[in-house]
Amino acid sequence: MKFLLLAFSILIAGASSAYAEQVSLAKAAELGCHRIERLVTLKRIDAAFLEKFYGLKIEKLDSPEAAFRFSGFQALAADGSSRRVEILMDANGKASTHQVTDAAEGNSPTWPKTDPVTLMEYALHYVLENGASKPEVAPFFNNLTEGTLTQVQGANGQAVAQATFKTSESEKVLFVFQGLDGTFISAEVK
Amino acid sequence: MTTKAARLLLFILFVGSLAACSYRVEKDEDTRGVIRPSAELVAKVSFADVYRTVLQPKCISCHGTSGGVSLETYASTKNFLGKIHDTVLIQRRMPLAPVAPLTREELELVAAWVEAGGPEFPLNGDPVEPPPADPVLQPNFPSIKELIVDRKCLQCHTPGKEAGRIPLTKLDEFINSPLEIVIPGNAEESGFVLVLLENARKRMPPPETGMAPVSPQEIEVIKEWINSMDDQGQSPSPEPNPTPPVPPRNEPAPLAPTFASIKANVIDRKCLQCHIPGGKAERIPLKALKDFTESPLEIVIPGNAEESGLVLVTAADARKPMPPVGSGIPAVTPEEINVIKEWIQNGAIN
Repeated sequence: MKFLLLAFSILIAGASSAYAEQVSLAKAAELGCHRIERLVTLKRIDAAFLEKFYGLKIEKLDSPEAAFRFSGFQALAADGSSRRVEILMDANGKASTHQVTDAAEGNSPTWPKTDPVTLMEYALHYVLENGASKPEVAPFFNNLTEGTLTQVQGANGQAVAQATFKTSESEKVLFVFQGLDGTFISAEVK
Repeated sequence: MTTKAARLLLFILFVGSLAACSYRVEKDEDTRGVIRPSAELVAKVSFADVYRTVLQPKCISCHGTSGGVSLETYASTKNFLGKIHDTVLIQRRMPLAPVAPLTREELELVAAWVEAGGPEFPLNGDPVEPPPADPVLQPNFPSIKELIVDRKCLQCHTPGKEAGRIPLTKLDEFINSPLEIVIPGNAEESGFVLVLLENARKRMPPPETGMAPVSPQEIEVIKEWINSMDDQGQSPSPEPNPTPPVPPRNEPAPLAPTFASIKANVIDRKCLQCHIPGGKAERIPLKALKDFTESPLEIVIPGNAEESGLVLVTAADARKPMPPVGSGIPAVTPEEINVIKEWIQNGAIN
């Protein structure tokens, strides 16, 4: 009987923990990018959050109200501030609330083909798709802290989008390079 | 002499080996791989056969009435006979993956129909059943899944496919997604609706796939389904349909000089793709009788068919013909225009 009770308890505990399992930080960040797009579509935030997006921060929260805090921010203004939208999410990455912090607008590069939030989302797809199979990518999948998007010059002199990701596990950074239309070019960890 | 005999023997063997290497050319396929259907099949093939066997199962998901190359009706399909010949029979480019390529029998059927000149009915005069109507789209998940999701979404939104990270294979994936694909009771903010709209930032299905967009009528049915759900994602019943369903697209129905008949046979089929809330021409709604008779645009002037906008824009020589040329929507036929005129002349009553 004791054995049965023990087995039952283990099963219940297992089921509970499975139910409470959180999405990874990289997945939460990707869902945050999707949420920015939705908020713009619904006109809850202005389109500059999509068109002048510069980067994101993601962190786990120890709170019953929310499991993740996602911040999407625009290019830094001259005074060092930046407009940002903060989104709280549950353990599944589902957004609950959002809050905009206003600041002066910074200079953002022009993104002629694909908006920068989508480019960041595509770069995060690389992390999501390779987090399990490539050990060097796993830290960014599990413990991503922030990501930024800039334009750099590619090997042939053309402008390419460079997503830079940081992790709390190490000092290394992950670069994901894409064409301005979102076509994947390469990725490397340094 | 012996050498000569040996040479002759070698020559015979060589010629014999060449003959052995020849291959049999199928009598119904010429050397370029072009299908040559039998005369019997050419004589008895009809549009209904081609629609039922090939178009409906393998083409309509992309080539629907909502735009581009429409293969949903006889009239519109006939316009693309040459294109069908080139892309299906010669280049063998269609249908595109992931739809399975046409089988030998299907290719023969299409080839026979093209060779016969694309007839609606068999050339030999045999009677033929009309093409089967598509099931009517209903505001419930099984219907929407069968007629919209399976046809226009699952090519990519299936695990392992291009958009497999956002699977759309079962109801749970719609209502429990953190992407809020479906928010029960709130169609206006549901991602499933937002991405289908004409002005969507990333419209689905992606225009570059060539797949026909979901029509405004279909979007209205999807909205009705979402708004009918309770907090748990349950619809009151899978069956009821309080508003008129999207009419079957190929069901022949008699046209009569009444508003209900004209609406069902002409307006719903040829106008509401755009003249509906969310459509391209939403500012000129064509839903209720008063939209016609009380419009400042004088769409219908009771008793005066000749000056009614509805007649003027559907005429073959209209300056801005409706439905627009190139929309893929079949034109209003002279017979239909005559019935519309009769209804208007009789006072345009309900």
